Amino acid sequence: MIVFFEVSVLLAASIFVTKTIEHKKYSESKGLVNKSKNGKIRGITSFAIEKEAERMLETALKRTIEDGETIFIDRKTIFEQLSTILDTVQRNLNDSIASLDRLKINQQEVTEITDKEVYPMYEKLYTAKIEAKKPTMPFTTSRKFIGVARDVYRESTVRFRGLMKQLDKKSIVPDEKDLRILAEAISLKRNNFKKDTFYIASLDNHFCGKREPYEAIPGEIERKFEIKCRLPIEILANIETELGEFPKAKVKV
Amino acid sequence: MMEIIFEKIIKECESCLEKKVVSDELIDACKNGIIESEKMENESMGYHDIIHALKLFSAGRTCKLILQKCVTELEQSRIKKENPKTLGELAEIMGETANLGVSLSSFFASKSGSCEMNSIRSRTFFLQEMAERIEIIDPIEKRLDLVPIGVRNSFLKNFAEMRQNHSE
Repeated sequence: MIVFFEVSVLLAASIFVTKTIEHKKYSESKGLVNKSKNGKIRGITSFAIEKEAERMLETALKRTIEDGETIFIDRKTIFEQLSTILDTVQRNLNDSIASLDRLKINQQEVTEITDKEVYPMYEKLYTAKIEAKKPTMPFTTSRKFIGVARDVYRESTVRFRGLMKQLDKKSIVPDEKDLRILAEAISLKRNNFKKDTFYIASLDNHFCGKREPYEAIPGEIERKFEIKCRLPIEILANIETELGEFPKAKVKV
Repeated sequence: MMEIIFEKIIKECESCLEKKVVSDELIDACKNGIIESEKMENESMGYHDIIHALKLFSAGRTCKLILQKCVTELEQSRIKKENPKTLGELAEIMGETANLGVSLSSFFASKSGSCEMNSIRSRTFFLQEMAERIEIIDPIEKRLDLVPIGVRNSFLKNFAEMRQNHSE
């Protein structure tokens, strides 16, 4: 079983600031990283993912500096405190990455896959979402029902506008970095793991969304690219079932 | 100048190991190393990029904490007359600390780019883990406990918000 670790899972597995302060998905993410460490799965990632994870940690720390929490503390103490947090999470991140393979990825191929396959897939999903929800005037020949039909049309138009607003806010189409991450996974699957079951471990709705407007994404990725996008807890349950370690776990999503 | 101070620690370490005696010169070299590490800590705080500044600060602080503990251990070993044993245990970590000090000094002298920074960072982590293993410095979890809970929470909150915006 091949598991491609995406940024969100690597980060969740690194945010363990103390026993009481940890990322809410820390235990399942770390659990999956440990499966790779123990050789139960082959965990892989890419250099771009590693860099992006580091960048996000550093940005969160920059924002912490701007927060009021450190305003009354002298500069040297702030540096002592924040450098300790930075060291902790980066050492955790390094530890997670050390148990994963980073394979060579053809960046030219990744660009082509991004432009010709990944972006069009998301764009198509976005268009399909809009088309499916677009209201049409209900057909009626009876004068008696024209008023009702107008009301129904009006209501569905309002609902449609709501959906458009939601889609605008949380666009189905991810940013360029996520598009490339999926393209990297596709490239690895095609070149190195043609016959293997290939997972992307992610917490990001753009890969394994469960609710509106993302719910069609994982199914489409699986259908088009034979890649299963799953939450770490779902992959853990699959590993346990496959290896017969435990009875099939109930997965609450 | 700073590089010479750290190179002196390596030189004195080798000389003491050969003679199997903790010399005054070695203790003095470590004390000078502590002063230089503190200077680098202070200098790093003025660095324009805050993340780079924190990374440099961490490197300087790691050197300082290790050398402080080494000086205490070396002085105590002289009192207890246990020179060779203590020296053998500490020589490796003092050598690694001095190497990081040299890299750090040359970084400040030349203001080198991100490549040198990556090397400083990995050396810092290597040194921290090594020092934690032989109990020269506290484990990182213990040091993290000293960071006020409000600051730790603030980091977690900022991180969670960022991921939320990224559609997690």
